Amino acid sequence: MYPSAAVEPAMTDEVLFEPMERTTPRFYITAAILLCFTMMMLGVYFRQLWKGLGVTGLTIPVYWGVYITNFVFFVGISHAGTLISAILRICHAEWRRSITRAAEVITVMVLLFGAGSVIVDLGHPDRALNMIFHPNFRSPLVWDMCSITVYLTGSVVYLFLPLIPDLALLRDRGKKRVWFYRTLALGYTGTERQKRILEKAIAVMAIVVIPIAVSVHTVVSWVFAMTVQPMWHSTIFGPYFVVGAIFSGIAALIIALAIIRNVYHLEQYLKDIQFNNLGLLLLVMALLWFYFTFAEHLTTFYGSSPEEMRILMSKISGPYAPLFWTMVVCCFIVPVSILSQPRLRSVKGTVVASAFITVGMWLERFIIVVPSLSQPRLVQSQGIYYPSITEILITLGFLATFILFYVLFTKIFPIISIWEIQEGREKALEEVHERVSAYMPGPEKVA
Amino acid sequence: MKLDRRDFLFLGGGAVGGAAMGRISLKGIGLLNEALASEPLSDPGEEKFASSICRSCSGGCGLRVRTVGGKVVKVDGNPLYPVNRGGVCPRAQALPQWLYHPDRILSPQRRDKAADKWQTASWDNSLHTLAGAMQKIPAADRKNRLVVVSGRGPGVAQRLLSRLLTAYGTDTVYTLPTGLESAHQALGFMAGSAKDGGATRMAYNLENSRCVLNFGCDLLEGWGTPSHTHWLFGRWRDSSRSGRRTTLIHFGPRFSVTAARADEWVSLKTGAWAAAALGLAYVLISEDLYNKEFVENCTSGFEDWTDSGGQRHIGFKTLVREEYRLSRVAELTGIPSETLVRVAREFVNSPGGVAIGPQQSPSQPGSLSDALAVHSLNALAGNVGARGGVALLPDNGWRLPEDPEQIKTSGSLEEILRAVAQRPDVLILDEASWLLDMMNSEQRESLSRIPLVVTSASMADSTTAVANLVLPDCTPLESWSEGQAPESYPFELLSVSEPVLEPRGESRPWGETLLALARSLDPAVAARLPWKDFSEALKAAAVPLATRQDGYVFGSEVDEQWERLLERSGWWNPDWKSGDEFWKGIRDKGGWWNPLSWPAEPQRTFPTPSGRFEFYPQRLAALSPDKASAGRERDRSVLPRHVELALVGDAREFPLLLDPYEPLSFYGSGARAIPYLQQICSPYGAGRGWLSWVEISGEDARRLGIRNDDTIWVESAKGKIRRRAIVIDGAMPGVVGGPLGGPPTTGLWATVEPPLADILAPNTDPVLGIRSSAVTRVKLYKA
Amino acid sequence: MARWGMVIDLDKCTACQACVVACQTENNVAFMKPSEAQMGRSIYWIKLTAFQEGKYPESKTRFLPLPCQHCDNPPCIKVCPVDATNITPDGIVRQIFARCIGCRYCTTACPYTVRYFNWYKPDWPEPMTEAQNHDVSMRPKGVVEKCTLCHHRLQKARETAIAEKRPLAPGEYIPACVESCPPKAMFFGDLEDPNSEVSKLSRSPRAFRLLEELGTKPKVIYLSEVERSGSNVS
Repeated sequence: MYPSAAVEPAMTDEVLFEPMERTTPRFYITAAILLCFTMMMLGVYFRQLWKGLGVTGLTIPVYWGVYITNFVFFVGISHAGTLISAILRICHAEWRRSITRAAEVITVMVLLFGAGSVIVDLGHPDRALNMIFHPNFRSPLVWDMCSITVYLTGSVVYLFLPLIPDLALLRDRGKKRVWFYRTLALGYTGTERQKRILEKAIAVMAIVVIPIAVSVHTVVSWVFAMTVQPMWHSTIFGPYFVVGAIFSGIAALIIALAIIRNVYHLEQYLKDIQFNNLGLLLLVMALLWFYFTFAEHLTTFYGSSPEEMRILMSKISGPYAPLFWTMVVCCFIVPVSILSQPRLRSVKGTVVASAFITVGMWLERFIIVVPSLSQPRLVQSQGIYYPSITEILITLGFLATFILFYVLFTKIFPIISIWEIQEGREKALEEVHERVSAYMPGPEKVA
Repeated sequence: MKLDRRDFLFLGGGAVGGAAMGRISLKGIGLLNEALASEPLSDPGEEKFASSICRSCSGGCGLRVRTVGGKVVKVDGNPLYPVNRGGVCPRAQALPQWLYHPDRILSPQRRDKAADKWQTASWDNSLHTLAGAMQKIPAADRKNRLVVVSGRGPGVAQRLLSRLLTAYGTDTVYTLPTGLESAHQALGFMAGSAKDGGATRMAYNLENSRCVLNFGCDLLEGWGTPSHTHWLFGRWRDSSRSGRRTTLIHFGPRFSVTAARADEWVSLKTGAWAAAALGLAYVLISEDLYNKEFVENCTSGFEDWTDSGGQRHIGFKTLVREEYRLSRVAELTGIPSETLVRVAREFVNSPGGVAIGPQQSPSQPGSLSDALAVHSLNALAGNVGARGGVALLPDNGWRLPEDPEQIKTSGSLEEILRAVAQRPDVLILDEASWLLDMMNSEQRESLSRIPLVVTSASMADSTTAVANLVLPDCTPLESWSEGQAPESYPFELLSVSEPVLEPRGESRPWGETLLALARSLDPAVAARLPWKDFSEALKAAAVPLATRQDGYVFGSEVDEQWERLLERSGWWNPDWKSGDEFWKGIRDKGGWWNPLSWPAEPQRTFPTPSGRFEFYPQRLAALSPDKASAGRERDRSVLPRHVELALVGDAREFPLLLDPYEPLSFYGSGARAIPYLQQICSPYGAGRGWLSWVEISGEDARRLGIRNDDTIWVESAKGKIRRRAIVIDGAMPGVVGGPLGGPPTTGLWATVEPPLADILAPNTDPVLGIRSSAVTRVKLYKA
Repeated sequence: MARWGMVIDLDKCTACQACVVACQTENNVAFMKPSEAQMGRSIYWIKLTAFQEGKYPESKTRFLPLPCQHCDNPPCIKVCPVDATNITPDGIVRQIFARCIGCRYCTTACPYTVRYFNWYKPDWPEPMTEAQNHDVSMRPKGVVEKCTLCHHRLQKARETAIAEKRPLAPGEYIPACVESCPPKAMFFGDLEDPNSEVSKLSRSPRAFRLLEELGTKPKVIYLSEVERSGSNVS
C-alpha cells in the first residue's frame, strides 16, 4: 500500500474555513467600494431607462456597441469555469482539485451579467418576456436565450452538486449559519450510497455540461455569423468564438485565483503548479486563437471582396487600427512571450499575461462587433463610434458587481472545494499510482 | 435551531432586502411600463380634402390638402393645377410643419429696441403705431423715408401694396430678386418690350424643347417653380410620350445636383458663360448650322451694318468669328474644342433647342453681357418666340380694377441695400428674410438704427431678430391665396383658393393687414382700397378678367387636350357666361389658364426699334456708359461679349473660388426652422442639416488635408467664417460651392452662425445696376 | 394574392427629396434635435443616398432613393427574436411596434441599412402634434421602425372597397412617396398582375435590384439611367 500523503499533523484546512467565519475590515472596504460602482451603475441605468438608449454613443449604422461586446465577453468568460472544471475532472487531472469551485462560481456569476448586458441593450426591456410569449425560433437570439438558460441551469447544478459535501462539513462544524447550511446540505452525511450517487451525478453533469458550454458560445457567435454582413458572415465564427471564450475564461480564472490566493492566504492550496498548468493551457489557447484570427483575416484579405476589404482595412490601417493592433499585442505577443518561458509561468507571470489577455479579448469582441457595422454597403459611414459615459459606467458597474457577487460567495461558501482536497489527500495518490502502473508494460495487476 | 445575533442580522437583512427588492421591482416594473407606454389616440375627426396654393416660393403650386378634424395632416399636389400637376416639392410637403411650428408668432409683437424682450400687442394698437409713424413723415420726404421690401410673389396682395404706397406717396416698392432679371432685361433689349409698354415676363416653353443648354441654372434646386421644373425633367426623360428624350447639357463650374443629373456636365471656368455661349455660336456660324431663315429675315445686327448716321458697325458674325475662335474660347472657359463642336451640332440638330441662363438664381442673376450671349444662341437656333424656346410674353397677372399707374418696382439687391443704408424712418419687411441672409453682419447691425422696423413674418426668422414690430402673417393654408403664371412658365394662368382653416391664434393674412392699414391711414389712402376684406378684393380683381376671350377654367388633362384641339380649329368654348360665373368657376376648380397663350406661330417681328431681333440692341447702345468710346470699341461693349469677373483679393493668397448658390430647402426665403427641410438640405452630405457647409472637390480636399465633415475656415479678403466641409469627389478642383442658408438664427433651434455674406465680394452689373454675381476668391484651411 | 412592389426610375429622379418629406409627414416620423441629427440619428423611412463614382472630369454621382426594399426573402425577419417583424401574405414586411423589444438585431441584419431606431422618446414640440396623421401609430422610444409601404393606406382602401362590395382597383392604394414624386419617377402596384405598370416595368431591360446577389429578392426595382438621345455627330 502506498502510504498516504505526508500530512503534517498541523495541516487541517482551517484556512479554508476562515473566510466564512471571520471578516476583516479589508473586506468591508472592498465591498463598499464595489457597492459604490454598483450604485453608480444602477443610477446610470435608470437614467438610460428613463431617457432612452440615446444616452449611449450608438447611432446609425453602428447599432450595437459596448453592451453587445460586454455580452459576448461575459458569456465568453463563463467558459472558464464549467468547461475547465468539467474537462479536468473527466481527464482525472488531480491538480484541478483546488480550482474547480472558483472556476464554477465564475461561470454562474458571469452568465448573469452576460444576460444582463443584453437586457441593458434592449430598447424595451419591460417587453423582454415577449421572447417567451412570441418566440421566433429562427432567430439566433432565441437560440441564445435557450442555450444560455440551459447552460445557467446546468452550471448551477454543476456548482451545487460538489458543494453539498462542503455544506455538510460546514453544517457539522456548527460555527455559523448552521441552519442555512443544514437546509442546503440536503441531509448529506457521507454514506457510501450517498457518495456513489453524488459522484455519479457529478460525472454525468461533467459530461453533459461540455457540449452545452460549446453550444452556448457557438450560438452567441451565430448571432453575428447568421447575418449576411461582411466579416460577420463567416463559417469560422463558431469554433473561433469557443476558442476565444476558453482563452478569456482561463485568463479570468487565473486572475481570480491569484486574488483569492493573496487575500485568503491560500498559498498552500493554490500552488505554483496550478498556475503553471493553467499557464500552459493559456499558452495553447493563445496559439490556437492566433491561428484562427490569422486564418480569418488572411482569407478575407486574399479574397479581396470589396465590402469585406473596406472593413478589414478599417481594422488594419483605418480608424480601428489602434484597437486592432493593441488586441494583437495583448492577446498574442505579450502572453506568448511570457508563457512560453517556464521561468515566467509563475503566479505573477501568468497573472500579468492574463490581465493583458482579458483586456485584449474585450477589444477583440469590440473589433468583431463594431467595424462591420460602421461600414455598411449602401450608406455613408458616419465615422467612428465612441462609447458614451453611460456605457462606460455600466460596463464598470457590471464588472464591479460581478466581483462583489464573487466576493460575497467566498464569504458564504468555501471557494476551494474542501472535501475534494481531503479526498485528494487521502485517496488520490493511491488511485494515480494504480493508474500509472497500469500504463506501464507488465501483467495486469490483480487487485 | 440556534440563532445567534449574527444569524439574526443576516436573516433579517436578507428578509428586508429581499422584500424591498421585490416591492421595488414590482413597483418599478409598473412605473417602467407607464413610462414606456405610448400615448393613446383619441377620436381624430372627419377627413376632408381642400385645395390651396403654396407660397413657400414665388412659384405658387396648387395643393391638395388633407385635413382631419379641421387639422392639416398632409399636403400634396393638386393633380388639376397646370403648373405642378399633382407633384409638389419637399417645401410644400413640409407645410404642416410651418403651419404648426412652435416658433409661429400668433399675435402682434412689439418692442422698443431690438435688444428688448417682445411684448404682445393688439392689432389695433400695432396698426395704429405703424400708421402713426407713416403719417408723421412729411409728404415731400415719403419717397425715401419709408422703405418697403417685399419678397412676396406677384398677385393681388402685391397690387394692394402698390396701390397703398402710391396713394401714400412713395414711388418704389422693393422686391427681392427672382434671379431672372438679367436674362429678362437682356431679352428685353434684344427682342423688345411689349407693344403697349406694359410689363412683360420672360418665359420658356421647355415642355417642347429637345435640347436644353443650361448655363449654370440650378434647374433641379429651385429654378422657376420647382415642382414644374421637376415635372418637366420627368417629361424630358419620358420618351414614351413624345418619342424622344430631351437632352440636358449643363454648363457650369459647380458639380451641382443639376449637373449630376444632366446628360452631360460641361465644366467651365467660373464666370465664363458668355465665352462658352459665343464659342458655341462660333461653331454654328463657321459651320453654317444656324437658322439662316430666322437670322436673315428676323434679326438685325448679325452682319456688319451701317447706321443712319453713316457709322459703320461690326456685326455679331464678325465679332464672333474674330474674337471667339475655339482656341481662345478653350482658354477662357477650359472647355475642349471638340466638346464645343459636338454640343453646338447637337443643339441645332434637334428642333426645339433652347439655351437657359446664365445662372438665374436670386443671389447670382448673372450679368447682362452673359445673358446677351446666351440669348444670341437662342436667336441663332431660331427659337425666340417659337415652340420649345424663349419668349417675352405680356405679363397678364392679377390686377386691381382701375389700376393704371404702375409703381416702380426694383428687384436690385444693391438698390435695396442703399435705400436701407440711408436710414429711413420706417422699414417694412414682408417675406424678406432672404434680404437679411444676404446682408453681412455690418449691414445687419445698421438696421438697428432705423427707428421702426416692421415685419410680417409668420414665424421667428432673421427679420424678427432686427424688427421692433411684428404683424404676423399666416401661412397660405390659412388665408385666401392667389397665384399667377410664375416668371418662366409658358402659359397665362390665374388661380385662387379659399383658406383651408382659420388663421391660427391672432395671425392675419397680409392682404387683410394691408386693407386695415389703409383704413388706419388718412381717408385718401383708405378710399383707394375700398374693399372690406381680401376675398372681396380678389373677386373685384377677378371679375374684369371674365371679359377675356380665351382660356379655360382648370379641368382634367383629357378635357384640356380636347379643348386645345377645338381651339386650334378656331373654336373657343367659354366655360363661363358672366363675371360672377367666372368667379365661381375659378373658386371651385382653382383657377383659369390659357394653354394656348404660347405663340402658336414662331414670332417674326419684334417690338424693337428695328422691328427685328437685335444682336446689337439699340436701346442698350443708347444707355451704354461707354458713350465716350467709339467705333469698334463701342460696338464691342454693346454686342454680347465675355467680361472677366472682377474678383477681389490676390489669386495666390486666395487660390480657390467660392460660388454661392441656393439649395432647394433654403431657396428664396427662410425655411430654415423647419426640421424636415433641414434634414434634407443636401443630397450629398449625409443630409444631416442644422449646420452651414461648403462643398469642396476631392482633389482640393486631399491637397489641403481636409476630410469630409471637418470644420474649416473659409477666408476671403473680406473676412473669414467657419463652415463644415463636405467633400464631393467628382467636383472641379478650384471651385468651392457655398450654399446660402443654414441653421435658423432665431427660435427654438437657433444656432447663430456668421452668414456667408460676411465674406462675399459681389459684383454689380454696370448697366442694370443689379447684383450680377457673388463669386469670391477664398482660401480654406482646417479649423 | 397581390404582391406589392415599387419601381423607381433613376433616369427621371431629380433628387428633390419630396418623397422623403412626404413619407415623414404621412407617417409621423419624428425629427431629431440638431445635436441628435448631427450624430446621424435622423430617421428617414425613405432616404436619398448619393454614390459618387469616378474622379473629375469623368465624375458621376448617382442618386438613389432608398426605402425598405420589402424583400421576399428578408434577412431581418429571420432574426427578430419576438416575431415583431414579419412578412404579410401580400409581401409587405411589417413592423409590430407594440411587440418590438428594441434589441436592434433586425437593424444590424439588414444589408440595406434601411431600418431605424428610436433612441429617445420622439419629441414633438406642442403645436406640431396637431399635424399628426391618426392613421399611423406613434412609435414610443426604444423600438425599431421602417417603411411600411403606407400599409395604413392599403387598409383604408381595402375597407372602402369591401364597403362598396368591389375589388380593390389599381391606383387606389399608393404610398405617400410615390404619390408625391414631382417628375413621376416612382410607380407602385401589384407585381403579380401582368398588366400592371410595375409588373411591366419590372421586366424592362433597364430594371435591376440592389444587392441581388445576397438573395434577398427585393421588391423595389430600379430602372437604370438611359443613354441620351442619339446625337448625330458627324
